Amino acid sequence: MAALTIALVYFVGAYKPKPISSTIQKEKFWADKTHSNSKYNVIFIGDSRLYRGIDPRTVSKTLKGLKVLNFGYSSGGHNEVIFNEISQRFVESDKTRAVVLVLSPYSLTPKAQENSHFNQEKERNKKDVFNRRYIAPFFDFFDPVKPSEIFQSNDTIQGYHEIFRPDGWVESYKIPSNPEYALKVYVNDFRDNKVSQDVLDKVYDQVKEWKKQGIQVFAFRMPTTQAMERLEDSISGYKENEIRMNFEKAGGEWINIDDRYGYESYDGSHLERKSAIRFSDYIGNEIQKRMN
Amino acid sequence: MSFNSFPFIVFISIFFIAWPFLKKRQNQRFTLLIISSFVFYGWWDWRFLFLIVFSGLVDFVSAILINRYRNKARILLALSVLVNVGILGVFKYSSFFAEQIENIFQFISYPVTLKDKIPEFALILPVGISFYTFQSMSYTIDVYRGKLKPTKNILHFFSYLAMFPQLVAGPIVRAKDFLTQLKVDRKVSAIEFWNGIKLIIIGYFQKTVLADNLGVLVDNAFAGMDNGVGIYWWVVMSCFAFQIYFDFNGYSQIARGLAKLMGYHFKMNFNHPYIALSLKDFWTRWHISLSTWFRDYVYIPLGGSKKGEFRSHANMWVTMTLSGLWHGAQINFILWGMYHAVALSIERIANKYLSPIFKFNLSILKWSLTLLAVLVGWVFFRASSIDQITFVINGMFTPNMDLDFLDKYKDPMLFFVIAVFVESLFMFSKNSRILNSLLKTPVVETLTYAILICAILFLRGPEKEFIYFQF
Repeated sequence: MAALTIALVYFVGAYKPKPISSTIQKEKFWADKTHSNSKYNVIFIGDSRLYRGIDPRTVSKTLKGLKVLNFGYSSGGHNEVIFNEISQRFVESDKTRAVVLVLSPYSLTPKAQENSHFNQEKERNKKDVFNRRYIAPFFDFFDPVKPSEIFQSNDTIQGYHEIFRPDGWVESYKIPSNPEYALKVYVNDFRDNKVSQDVLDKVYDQVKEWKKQGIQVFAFRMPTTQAMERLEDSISGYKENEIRMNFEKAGGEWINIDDRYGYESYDGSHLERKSAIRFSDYIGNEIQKRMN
Repeated sequence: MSFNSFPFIVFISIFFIAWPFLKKRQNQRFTLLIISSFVFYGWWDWRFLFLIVFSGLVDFVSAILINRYRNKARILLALSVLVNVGILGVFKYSSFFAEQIENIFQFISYPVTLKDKIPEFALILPVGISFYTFQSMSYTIDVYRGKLKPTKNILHFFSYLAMFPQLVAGPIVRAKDFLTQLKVDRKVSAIEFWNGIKLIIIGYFQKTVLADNLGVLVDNAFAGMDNGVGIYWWVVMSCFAFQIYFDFNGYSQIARGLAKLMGYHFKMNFNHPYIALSLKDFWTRWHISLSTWFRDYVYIPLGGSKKGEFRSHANMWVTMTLSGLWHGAQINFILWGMYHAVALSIERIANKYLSPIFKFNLSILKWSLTLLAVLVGWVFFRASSIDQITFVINGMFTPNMDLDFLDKYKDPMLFFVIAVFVESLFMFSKNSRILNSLLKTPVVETLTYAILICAILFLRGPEKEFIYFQF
């Protein structure tokens, strides 16, 4: 029995397909992002549009090697929980420091301020975190697969295809790609949950605070599909021009995105991996132009 | 620590390396078992170890005193039960009852604040508190009833109370079944050892492969991610039915297997509940150790079915409602218990009046109606609010046969099919001697368990805590 089991385990482990989204890598990724003590020059904060849409390595290249962190979380909001957290992640004050706020409409709603994904990771017990960061990755051989991954070739498997990159980017695409998929979801998300002036006011106050500390502050609206942008403008209460004006008044620098509909989204909300790299390069250059 | 965690693998390896070395030294063996159990429990939160120790000491001493001072036995028992129920009340129910009292006062326009005044430590629910408290209580009650002689060996008592395989999620072991096992030197034969290993493999397969993979669809549905109705909710609830069964039965099987490796025997906690032909039958197959606990310590003392028809129904209502409340201080669990009480009453009345009329075999109809009642019942158990209960039940009874959602959930559906297959295999093997003996041939058995191990390693679902840990 033992010999047969070992042989079978070895055979399956060696020849099983790579999962389209590795559980072990995913757990390590979020545990690292939340509990790492590494220090950065430039930190992006926002929601899933950010963590799927900005590749820190590409941004870093355009910023001549500055260390860049993508600190996006699912349904992530902009409030003191995140602001306090990133204050621990900056390099010393004598070096270049910048915050980049990815102000998507959802990230400014009251529901997003619960930051439940971030809190769930933050509150995970220490033993679990240690296991996810340092023990489980040794057992990559035992990374589970789904039956569909066994029976189908990798490029036809339906679902999220994800590669978890260091510094916070999730390189993603989805099969089947459906740029209208998220529209229905967002109609629900914004029901009784609009962009909050209270949240915005706190963001502006924080921008002033960062400026006092010598931290440069940038913001932009993440590109998505034209249909999604229209939908968000009509139901979320997001007024881009007004936000931009108040943000700049508080001392921040708003980055207007050229060719904002020129990027591809697989679900109508998040950027497909190639577009994410192209956009990261663009945004890196825009930040570079504005860096002191 | 959880059975499905890495630290547990390290823990159990160390334990079973040490265990055989203490074969001849019984007291050291029990000491190892108790210390290991405390480490196992303390891994979650060592602060709550004092509760097990305190509750255990109270019952250990109470039982000895009850046996010695029979004329004061009633008051000693009352004190012991009061301490146990008090601990449960403070740590499990204080917040819930405070909230209900606040609501009542709010209703009569006299707002009071109680919940905020509860000390913070009492708001944390110690893992497995309902299991070990009930186990401890049953010991003193049995001694009081004269069904059991109290043990004077504190190592025996704490080995029984805190034994790690069943400490946090049962089965609720009875002292009269277990203390006798501790008195004799247990030898583990090769067959028993292999049976223990088989139970552990089956348990892990049920939990990590079936329950955790089915949970993906259930969690998405209850998070409102799909907006399905009609058949969608029937599929979701069927998946949940298997998820909770395999989750809890998986834990019980692992617990039984571990006990077997030590030479002890725990009774079966589940007996294929979804083949039940009535709700009464279902309750003799589901969480047997809890059902029999409530039968022996609540239903029968209330008078059982011996005090007339109405009292029998009323006693069952009280028992089922308390059983619901045992699961958690939430209104949905109480409603779940009450729902089953109503359904059992209806079933009893229907049986009484309809059985003489319908003489022909109605097994399939009975099975379908039982399953339907159980599935609707699970909505109360799984939902997080009354609004959600209404929403899901509405959804279930909205005619809609749209199966598009299956496309998104091919993987969970495959595990659903496997779950049905596993249960059907049991049914067929029970009725077919050929299939039964084929499954027991060494080649088929070896291959089956090797495949199950592979499935546990490579097809396990997203890691989830055992559902019954919260109770």
